[in-house]
Amino acid sequence: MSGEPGRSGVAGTSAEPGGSLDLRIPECEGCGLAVWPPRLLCPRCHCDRWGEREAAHGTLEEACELESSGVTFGTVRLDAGPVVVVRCEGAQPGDGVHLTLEDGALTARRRSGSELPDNS
Amino acid sequence: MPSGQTGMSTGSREAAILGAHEAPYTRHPAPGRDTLALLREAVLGALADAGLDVGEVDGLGVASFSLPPDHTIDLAWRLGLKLRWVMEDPHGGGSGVNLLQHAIRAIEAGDAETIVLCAGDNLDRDAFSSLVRNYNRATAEHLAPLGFEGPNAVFAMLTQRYLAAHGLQPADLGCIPVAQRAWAAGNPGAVYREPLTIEEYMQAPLVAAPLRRLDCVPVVAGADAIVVSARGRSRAGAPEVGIRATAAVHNHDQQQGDGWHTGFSEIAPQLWAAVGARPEDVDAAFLYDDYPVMALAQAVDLGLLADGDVQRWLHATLLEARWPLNTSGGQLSCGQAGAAGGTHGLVEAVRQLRGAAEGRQVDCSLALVSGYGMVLYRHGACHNAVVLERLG
Repeated sequence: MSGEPGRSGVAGTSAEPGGSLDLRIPECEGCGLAVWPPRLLCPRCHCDRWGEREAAHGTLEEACELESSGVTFGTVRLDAGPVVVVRCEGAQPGDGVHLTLEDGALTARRRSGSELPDNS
Repeated sequence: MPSGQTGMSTGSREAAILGAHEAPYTRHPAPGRDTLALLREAVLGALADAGLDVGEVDGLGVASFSLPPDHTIDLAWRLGLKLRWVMEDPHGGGSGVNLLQHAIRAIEAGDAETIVLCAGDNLDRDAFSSLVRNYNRATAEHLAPLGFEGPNAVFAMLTQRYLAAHGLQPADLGCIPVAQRAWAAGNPGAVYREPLTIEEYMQAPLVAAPLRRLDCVPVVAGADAIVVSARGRSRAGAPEVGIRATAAVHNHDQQQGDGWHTGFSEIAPQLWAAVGARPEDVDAAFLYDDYPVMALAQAVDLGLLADGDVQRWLHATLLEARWPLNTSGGQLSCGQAGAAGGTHGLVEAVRQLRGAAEGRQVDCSLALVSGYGMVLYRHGACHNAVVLERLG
């Protein structure tokens, strides 16, 4: 996806019809900074060349339910770096979460025990 | 750092604000009171306030979400204006101070003699819904698919972060809407004027915890305008308003910070140095209050809390001593008329500085006005501020 800053960051590793895609995000080829949403230039070094990296894991920092719709929004700090806004499915603040893109909606679910790193 | 200051430089072309007007805000606008009619009303009112004629206007700046497909030139044509200077600002809560920053330069450079800056919207339910889901690409592509219905959800989480970091309770933040409501009682133009208690504030329905209904600005229709020209040109007989300094920073944290460490902390030192005064010398402040937490964060970052004691400022300074923050009642009591929210505070500051704030007048010779907005992804990206002074 070098030089392609747009939606190409929305690539997945487990695509299937109607399924979800593990989040992968743009990574600056100049300095290694990972960003989400995708950008035109790296906000740190202003490089315009982008690679891609896995970003399916993070930690849910806050969550709030929108009373009007029942949708729960969350703020997730990705292990890859960026802080992103998600739709929460069952996760609680402090939880390690797994992030997928589902019809364009970045969705966070609590990671199962087998997914968690040894030190957590 | 992007910034600007008018400084104390003298000259015949030093800019001043000569008039201000607000086309009354309303929840349910009468038929025909569409965006264009509201902007016309604000423009004519501000010119009348300055004692100037429509035919003298040679510069027009506009901020309005519902103006498209028209732009400034179309509005100018409908108003019959022949212009030398046109400007349009789409930056919502940052638009008022941003337009003013440009207008000051135009007056001082001689590019225009008499500039009207106007902002207003009449957004019905469908238009508002479409606006908040398509506010920008980041929102349309990354927030709307989540079920995003506007910025309440992201500011609820920002407020959670603020409360946790400062050991505050939601009722503490209620001091801001409750104190502003007390000011609104003296403003015939405020949509909500009935007295409010902290208890009533806490009983309002939850919108997105911890935000309750009275933390969220109601959508109204309305418009605001100011007249910017050279000092000494007013024919209204009222004091003119000088511009001591402006400062701005945009995208200070690239949407990656906590949202309550605002860009204002970066621009405050240079702003006050350019003003030649201290924050505590300000008689009143008009801070962009899309949510109580943002008014508070701006007050802290702009240096209004001399001792940094947030609890004391909320309860003792604002609620008990009624220090003049947002004396119109702010957007929390007047409502948010779309992009007019970015000019509302300027109009109220001009009224206070000119002694025209009937029913809520304070002793005011130096005032701070802030603009904040464009919720780009997680919080506002635009920050600007201006310090205004009464002349004569």
